[in-house]
Amino acid sequence: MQAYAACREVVEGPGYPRATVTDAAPTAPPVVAVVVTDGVGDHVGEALETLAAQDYPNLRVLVLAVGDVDEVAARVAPRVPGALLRPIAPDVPPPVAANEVLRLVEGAGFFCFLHDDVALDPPAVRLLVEETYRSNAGVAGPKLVEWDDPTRLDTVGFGVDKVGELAPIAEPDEIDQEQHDAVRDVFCLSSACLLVRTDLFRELGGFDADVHHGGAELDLCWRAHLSGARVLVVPAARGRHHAGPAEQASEAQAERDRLRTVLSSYSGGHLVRVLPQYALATAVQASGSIVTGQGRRAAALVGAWPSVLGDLGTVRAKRRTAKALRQVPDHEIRGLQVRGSARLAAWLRGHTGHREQRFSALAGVGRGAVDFVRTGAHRAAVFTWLGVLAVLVFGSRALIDGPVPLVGDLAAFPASVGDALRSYLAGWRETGLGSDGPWPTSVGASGLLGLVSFGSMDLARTLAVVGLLVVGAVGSWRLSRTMGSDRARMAGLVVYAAAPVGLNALAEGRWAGLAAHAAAPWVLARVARLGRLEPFAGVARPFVVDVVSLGLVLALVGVLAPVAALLGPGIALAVVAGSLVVGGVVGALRALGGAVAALVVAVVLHLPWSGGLADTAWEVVAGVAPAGGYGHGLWALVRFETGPHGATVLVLGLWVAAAIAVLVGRDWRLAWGTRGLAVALVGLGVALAVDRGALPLGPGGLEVALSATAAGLALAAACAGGAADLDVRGGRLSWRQPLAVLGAVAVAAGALPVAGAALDGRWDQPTSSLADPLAFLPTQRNPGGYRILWVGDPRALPLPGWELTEGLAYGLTNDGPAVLDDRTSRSPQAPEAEAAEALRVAADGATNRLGALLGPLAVRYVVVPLADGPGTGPADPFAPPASLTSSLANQLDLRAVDIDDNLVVYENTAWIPTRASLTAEAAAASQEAGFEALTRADLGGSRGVLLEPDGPLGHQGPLPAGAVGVAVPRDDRWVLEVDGTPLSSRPAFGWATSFDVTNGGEGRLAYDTPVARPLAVVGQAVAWVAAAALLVWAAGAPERRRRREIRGVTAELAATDAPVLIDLAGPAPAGDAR
Amino acid sequence: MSAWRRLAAVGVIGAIAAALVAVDRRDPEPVEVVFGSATAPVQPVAPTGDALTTVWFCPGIPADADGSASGTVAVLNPSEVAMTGSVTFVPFEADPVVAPIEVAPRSRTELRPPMAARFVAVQVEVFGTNAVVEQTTVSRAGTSLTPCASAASPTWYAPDGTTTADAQLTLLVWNPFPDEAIVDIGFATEEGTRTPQALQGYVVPARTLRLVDVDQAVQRNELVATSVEARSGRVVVGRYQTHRSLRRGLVAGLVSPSPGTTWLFPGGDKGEAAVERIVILNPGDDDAEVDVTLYPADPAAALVEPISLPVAAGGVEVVDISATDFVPDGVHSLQVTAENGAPIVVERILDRGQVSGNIGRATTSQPGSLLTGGRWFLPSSPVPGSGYVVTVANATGTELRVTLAAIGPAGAVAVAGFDQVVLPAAGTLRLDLSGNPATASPLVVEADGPVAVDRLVIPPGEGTGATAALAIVQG
Repeated sequence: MQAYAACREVVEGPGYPRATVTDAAPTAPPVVAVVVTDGVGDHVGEALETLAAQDYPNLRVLVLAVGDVDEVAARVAPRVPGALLRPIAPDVPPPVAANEVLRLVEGAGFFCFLHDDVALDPPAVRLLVEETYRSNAGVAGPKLVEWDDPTRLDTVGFGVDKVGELAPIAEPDEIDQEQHDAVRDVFCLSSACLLVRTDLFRELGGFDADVHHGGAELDLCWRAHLSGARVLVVPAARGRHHAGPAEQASEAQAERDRLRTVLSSYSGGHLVRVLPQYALATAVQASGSIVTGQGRRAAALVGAWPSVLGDLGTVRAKRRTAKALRQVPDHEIRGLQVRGSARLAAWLRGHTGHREQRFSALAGVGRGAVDFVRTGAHRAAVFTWLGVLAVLVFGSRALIDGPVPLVGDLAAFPASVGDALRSYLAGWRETGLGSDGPWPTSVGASGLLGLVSFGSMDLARTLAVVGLLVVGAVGSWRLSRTMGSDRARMAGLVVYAAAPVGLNALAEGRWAGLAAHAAAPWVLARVARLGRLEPFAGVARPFVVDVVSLGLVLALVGVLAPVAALLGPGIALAVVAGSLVVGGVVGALRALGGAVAALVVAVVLHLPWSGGLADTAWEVVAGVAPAGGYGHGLWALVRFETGPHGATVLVLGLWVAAAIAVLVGRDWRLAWGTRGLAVALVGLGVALAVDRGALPLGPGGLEVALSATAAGLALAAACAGGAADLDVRGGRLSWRQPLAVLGAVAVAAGALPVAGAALDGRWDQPTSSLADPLAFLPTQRNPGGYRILWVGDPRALPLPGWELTEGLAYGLTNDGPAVLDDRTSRSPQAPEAEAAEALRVAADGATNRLGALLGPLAVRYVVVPLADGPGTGPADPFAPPASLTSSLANQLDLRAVDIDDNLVVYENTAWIPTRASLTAEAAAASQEAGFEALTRADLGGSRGVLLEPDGPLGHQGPLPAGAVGVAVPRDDRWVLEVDGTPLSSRPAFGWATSFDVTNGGEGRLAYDTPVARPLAVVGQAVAWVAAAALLVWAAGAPERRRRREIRGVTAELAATDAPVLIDLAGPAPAGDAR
Repeated sequence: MSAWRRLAAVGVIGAIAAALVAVDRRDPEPVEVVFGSATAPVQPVAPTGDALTTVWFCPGIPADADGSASGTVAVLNPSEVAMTGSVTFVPFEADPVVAPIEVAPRSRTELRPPMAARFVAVQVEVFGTNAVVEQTTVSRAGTSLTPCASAASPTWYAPDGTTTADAQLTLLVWNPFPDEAIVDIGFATEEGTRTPQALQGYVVPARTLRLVDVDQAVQRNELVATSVEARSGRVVVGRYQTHRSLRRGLVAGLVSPSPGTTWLFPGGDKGEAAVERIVILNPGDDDAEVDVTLYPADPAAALVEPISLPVAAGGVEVVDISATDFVPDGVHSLQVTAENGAPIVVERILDRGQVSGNIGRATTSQPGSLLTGGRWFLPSSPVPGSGYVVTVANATGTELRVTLAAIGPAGAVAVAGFDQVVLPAAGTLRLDLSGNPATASPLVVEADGPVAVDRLVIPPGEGTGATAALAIVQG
């Protein structure tokens, strides 16, 4: 300090602060300027000259030369004669190279790291050192202005928000009017010029060798903060900076570095709070990027997660280092960070303040677009994607604009995210009459989707419905990504998007078809990968990872349609069939084995719900099939015409395009073209069997089979596209060229019908919903909960239901139309089967009191849908057997309610509300079981009680004395408290629950969820996370490999005998510039 | 190598495609959804099996305050266990009254409305299947016996009716259900069809009995065929027809719920005792080609060629059997068949009032039977001293044996002289029980093949009380 005191006299001059050393005492702390350069560039020479011009009395220059050391030496020597040159291997990343200074230099007080495009003003180093001493800082940086226009600021340091987003203190292109010329603490400085105390740099371990794409400065500065060091910007020290393209890190790598830094820098407790916000910010920014057409940025944001999480070992190591450094708690670090979102703030500034910049940004986009068109890289592919997306979005505009109607079995989602998640955690399913089984995963998934859609369950449902179309298209694109041909990918994408499987499922309202359409190409891609057959053989991943990957896809599709999970083994089997013709049977069999194992994985991921599937009837899993099948015929199936789409012969173009692969393809194009057609034909065969009633599959089953057909066609068409690129182009003229042209024409022709169908805006889906007419039911009279008994053709039912007889299904919904929970996928329990038995008794003409039989089930309405939605008209009727409608009409306690031509509705005059204070006669009848007792009693007149909801399953409200019936199967975990006193339940009507209330009071009915249920959910979540983590880990493998290589280089460097070039503690080496 | 693989691929793919086409060309077996065994009601049927509840609907009996017109409902329990249930009296323009009922095994109970009303419909609901119900109406115009309906129906047809000055025809339209029924009531006469505006979209409120005076809607017509077709809901329809001059007596009973193609009428008679006619209504949209076949009671009678006639769609035709020369005199059964399958509704009129010497014996008008069976119930008993004739028709080509039994505490006991009586193929069996004490009990006719059974009751004296009605077949 004494030596430094000699440098205190500073004379302010015009321009920038200029210092004059009045006592250039040799005791000034030694500073080593470290420049990593390849000697190439227009600015290197001038930058080096400014180093030589520094007025600091004890400055040494160390040049770390990457690349051609002679060239670097030729540029350095004349400009900085005393500089020391150290060659570094060209593949050594800059941070690793910079860290070499720790081995090469001893005795320095400061390291000044400089890019080779920074030209410092002569006093800059001195001013930085002075301020560092003055402010007791650990890291300091100068004010950098633009190289070519020094009146504009380049950087005066950065603030950082909680998720590591940099918030530049100076606006882009901001004029330097000395407005930032006060010394200030900042969170982060530009690595273009960074003065670091040597002891601190050693303590921090130098730059992180893994962070070397622009995130190095944030990482270093954050660790400096953790160690208690100040980070300052010293505007009096100034430099010009030319930020060339080489310095602009790839967006993907920058995002990875940022996430890794955040993950490793916060303490555990703080990280738990910050990480969800980081994830949310990622989702929001990625969505915004997609909307604004910045797909690459969205990919960078999202892709950072699997990459970093797949390399958790590195993160853990960094966290250990950070923990050892930590002198400052996180809440103080947070105090140094900017509040809110740096990116949002920047965006707002960009949109509200600087019109010039906006235009600049637009101009940038425009330039990018022009460049894209001019260079033509992937131009056709991008235009194809834009076209497909435009058609899908334009065709879905009415659905996106408003809630998707409750058509077919596209049931409503739970009312809120909370409802969905609480229900999923609850131990009681309200589906049907209720049961203590686990909820299907779909309910929990809807809640998670609701989170993504910011709590709007309608939006979540729209996303699920419309999004599945896009997911299918993306899957078809990825299906052919290893083919190395844009033409292949375009053909696959267009063919799959043009096959109207998903559109018909959407129009007819079938979750199974939509889910299968979304999943089929993903499934086929994974099956192909499992087979390790060329060109899919190049993807080197452990077999088990591919099995889990396919298992996850099957599990996801199983969320909405369990039967669609059979796509995996089914497609694999078809690939085996195709391989029998073209070879690769061993690989195909491996794929089949993997697909079966993947199905097991999918089942495991759906535990504990899937545990009940073992004793579940096929028709419950697959859905109740209509009697005699669907009757479309092969001609319609070939055109995918299971709904309003596919009526035109142009759809056959898709088959023509696929067939071209077999005719013109060679090698793997021929092989996979054949396998693709095999998948298509097997799918078509299964569809034909379903269509003719030979294979019982419920509504949506046809689309499940045809989705495999479409995926097979897409694969074959992609092979045809690949063949056009690899086998036809450039070849001698033959019959192949015309066929390739024919394939292109066929693809275009096949796509026309879907493009035309987009004009409708809703893909021919009805505008009204089943819920609309049901709203006219007088449900408010005598509230207390009620049920609807649906019975009719399975194609018309709004829920999968259970089989009543061949071609006839029934199901129960609570308090109105079907909701997602009503996709029961479990066999009916005894009381639910009683509803079926009651219907049978009535249809046999054995009673005129069906209402009394259904009364204790709380069935207030019996609804027979005659079509798959209101307004679908008589052109699409699913008339139930006359015996059913006739028997319903003969009941003396069912009152017809005329609300819609397509719904036969009866109100039960003998119904008992779900939670009811029973009349004396009903209470007496409840003591007995069986239909006979019900027909002999007058059950009408019981009033609903416990009208206020209390949690997901509970209800509360005043209770009179008497018997209280709860129309759920008896379970001791249902507890009724009256004025806080719990009552024990008794069976009612042989199956339901009843409580005898001696003294009236305030009642509260609740279900005591066993602790095993949330534990099971946690277990399931762990299974999903583990499966996802495995894939993430696998996705991070290339990155890990790269890091291993870098570490190898670093270790090699460390092992190299590197003599100390600068020993400032000892005598100055010969040739020292000073 | 690639060429061979390509060839194989093309061949296999072509073969699979051809196989799919071949499968598609085979027509799949049509599959009909079958659910439940209940069939549309065509006539009253005594249920069998283990039904939880059964209901009988009696269309309406008068309950005049002064007793000038009254009626009873007979509830027969032919089983071995006691019958319990409830009876609901639905008076015209008054609230229903419900009461429990219980009938001992192998016995009969007669119910009378507990209130005075122009008409009272009666609903008998039974816990089980052990009841057979019919109603009897007694008025100054005569006596009428009719089975009650075992089911409501959306359609009802009454081919015979008269609205001449000396006649009164009232329709009883009863809706026993909790939602309103809307019906269209139309008429066919020899001059054409009539659809009075007031009777289109005619609302019958829930659980209500409505009366329609046909003689107000279609005045002065010798032949008025009535159709009641529901737009929504189901109803039970009865007819209350009185005659005071040429045709005399009372016809108060259920009409036919359904058209059919083969109607069987036991107990026809050509001779000096009666004039026999049949009335055929074709309510459909297609003309019917109708054959009338006779099955004489006399085995020695010569075979008679069927009478053939067309019945236009929506039209009504009368066939005067008595005026047909080639029909031999004597008792016979009639079978009326729509040969071309167009459904028709047929009723038979036996008009004894026009025959010299039979003044006061009245006219009977009854629907035929669309069903045949081996067991027929006759729950009601005639007043003592009545003439009582049971006729059994066998339209099959097989000789059958018939037993008439009385139901009592000992069960069904064969009536002396009527045990295992031979019924010739395509023949008619006339069992005269006049003066037989067994008629005081409910009767059952059992045959070892499908037959149809009706009875003719002629009250004693010079009254106007003759009535004929089908027995009730066990389904």
